[in-house]
Amino acid sequence: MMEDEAIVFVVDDDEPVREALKSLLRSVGWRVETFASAQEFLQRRRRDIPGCLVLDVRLPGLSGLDLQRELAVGDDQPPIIFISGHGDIPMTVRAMKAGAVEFLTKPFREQELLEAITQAIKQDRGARRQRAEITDLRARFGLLTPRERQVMGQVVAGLLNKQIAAELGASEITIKVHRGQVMQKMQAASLADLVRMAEKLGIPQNGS
Amino acid sequence: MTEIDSWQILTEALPQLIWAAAPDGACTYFSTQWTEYTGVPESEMLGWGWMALLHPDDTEPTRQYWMDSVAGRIQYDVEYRVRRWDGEYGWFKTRGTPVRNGNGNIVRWFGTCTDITDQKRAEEALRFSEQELREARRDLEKKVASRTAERMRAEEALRIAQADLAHVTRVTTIGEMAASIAHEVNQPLTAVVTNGSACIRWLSANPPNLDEARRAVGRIINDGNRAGEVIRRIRALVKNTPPQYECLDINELIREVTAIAHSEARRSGASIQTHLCENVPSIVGDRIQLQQVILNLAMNGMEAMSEVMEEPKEILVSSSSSGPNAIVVEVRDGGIGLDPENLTNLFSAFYTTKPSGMGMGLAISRSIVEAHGGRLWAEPNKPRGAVFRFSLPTQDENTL
Repeated sequence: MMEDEAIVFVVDDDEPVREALKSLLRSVGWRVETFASAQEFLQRRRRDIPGCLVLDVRLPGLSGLDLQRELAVGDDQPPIIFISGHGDIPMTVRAMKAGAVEFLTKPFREQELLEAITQAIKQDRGARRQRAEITDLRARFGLLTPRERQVMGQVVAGLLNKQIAAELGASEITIKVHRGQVMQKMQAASLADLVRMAEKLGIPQNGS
Repeated sequence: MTEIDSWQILTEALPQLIWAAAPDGACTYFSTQWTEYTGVPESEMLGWGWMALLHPDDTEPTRQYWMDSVAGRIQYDVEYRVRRWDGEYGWFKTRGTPVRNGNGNIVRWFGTCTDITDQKRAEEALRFSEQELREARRDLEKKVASRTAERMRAEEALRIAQADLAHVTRVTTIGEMAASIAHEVNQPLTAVVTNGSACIRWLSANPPNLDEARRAVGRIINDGNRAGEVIRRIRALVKNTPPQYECLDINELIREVTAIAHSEARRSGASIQTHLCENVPSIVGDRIQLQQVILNLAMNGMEAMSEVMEEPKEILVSSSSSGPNAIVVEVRDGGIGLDPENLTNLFSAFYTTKPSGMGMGLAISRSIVEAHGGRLWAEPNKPRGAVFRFSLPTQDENTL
């Protein structure tokens, strides 16, 4: 997973800056796609491989901060590194509070930019992995019958089979069978594993 | 009646003073008018006695003349001053005519003296007046010359003051644009540094990628030149040289101003669009001053739009012909518009709606346009905002 390709999206309305960044980032080995405006990026971006966004604040039409806000609404917001020819403190604070990885002022030092991008890509890989995991878990959870789901909820709450049987009005044997099914379908290696999965799925630990 | 009687009646009747003299020059007769004038009896004047009655300065010259005439050398036609009975001198024009005998010898002289005192006085008065007039005229000419020099100096000083004021306003505008100018230089600088880093990495690759490295360096050169262009434009605008009139393409001027101001527009969330008529005729004018006018109008438009929320915030600059002899430039914005109460004050010096403004921009713009033979005026824009237009005579019209 660490060896995956990564792509950097550059959004800046100044063409020479775009060209220079493209050359620099490609020399490091990343793929680069450049856009002259936020709208252009929204229309053509792809999210199939890990990446991040290098974004100027002042853009024609939708500004960089506006774009940040819009992307936050969706599920898979790419990490953002702001580069700006201006950069007053309030703007910087706003951007960082909204989750930007870094806020650099032009002309930025190569080292700072490359480190920020590296960090952002790592962050994105992690986020994608997590998302993939949850999707996976959800799929597995989807295979459970309603009864099995109930049982799972009780199991991760820490109840013994006997208690669960009493709770659900079924025999202990039946509960044991359900439990086995749950472990198998969820592909959990242990109870602790199952508990972790339940956490990730957001299943409340109270048996509902 | 004897000859003498007739003679006497005649001579006594004439206004002139009559005299007679012997061929040797001694006077033999003086009419009574002589005695009336001089107060001296005839007996004292006979012979050479009459010379004592002349003005001392005239005595010797007259004697010379008389003796030359008596000798037959010249006509006796002289002017001299005679002392009047009250001591004053009067001017007399004297003429003498010789009477000759059959042999051609002079036997007698007859002469008249005419009082030309008034004439003389008039002549002198005239000469004096003429002299005074000449002097007065000389004086006047000197005064006119010095006043003209003064006025030319004042006009020159005014021209310099206007140019200085226009210059100061330009510099102030540039000062207001400092942030966006810094940004404009910062962009190419960023690109240069980034390209430089890229170049080093391409060269450090294994194997080095000379192609990419070369391209990066090429871009560095272009970026550097771009920064130079920005500086050049700003320098041209803040120079303080006297106005230089030359043939200009107004579209070129508009494009330059758009390049200078686009970054500032971006800063206020606006954009500058142009709508240029391609075959607009050339005009004659000072490049920098006319750019100043366009820049002033565009900056005003941006300022007006910074206070409204509606998008898109656009300044539209357009050029067009207006009849065969003029062109028109229009700067249109969608800002807060003009105050109808103050429409006439808009172009007055020191009128401003900005809290920190001096109010000189439009006044100077108007004076520049008018100095170029044009007009600058404003109208409301629909649905909101303002349109500023100025006209300029075309090159042909100018040379007429």
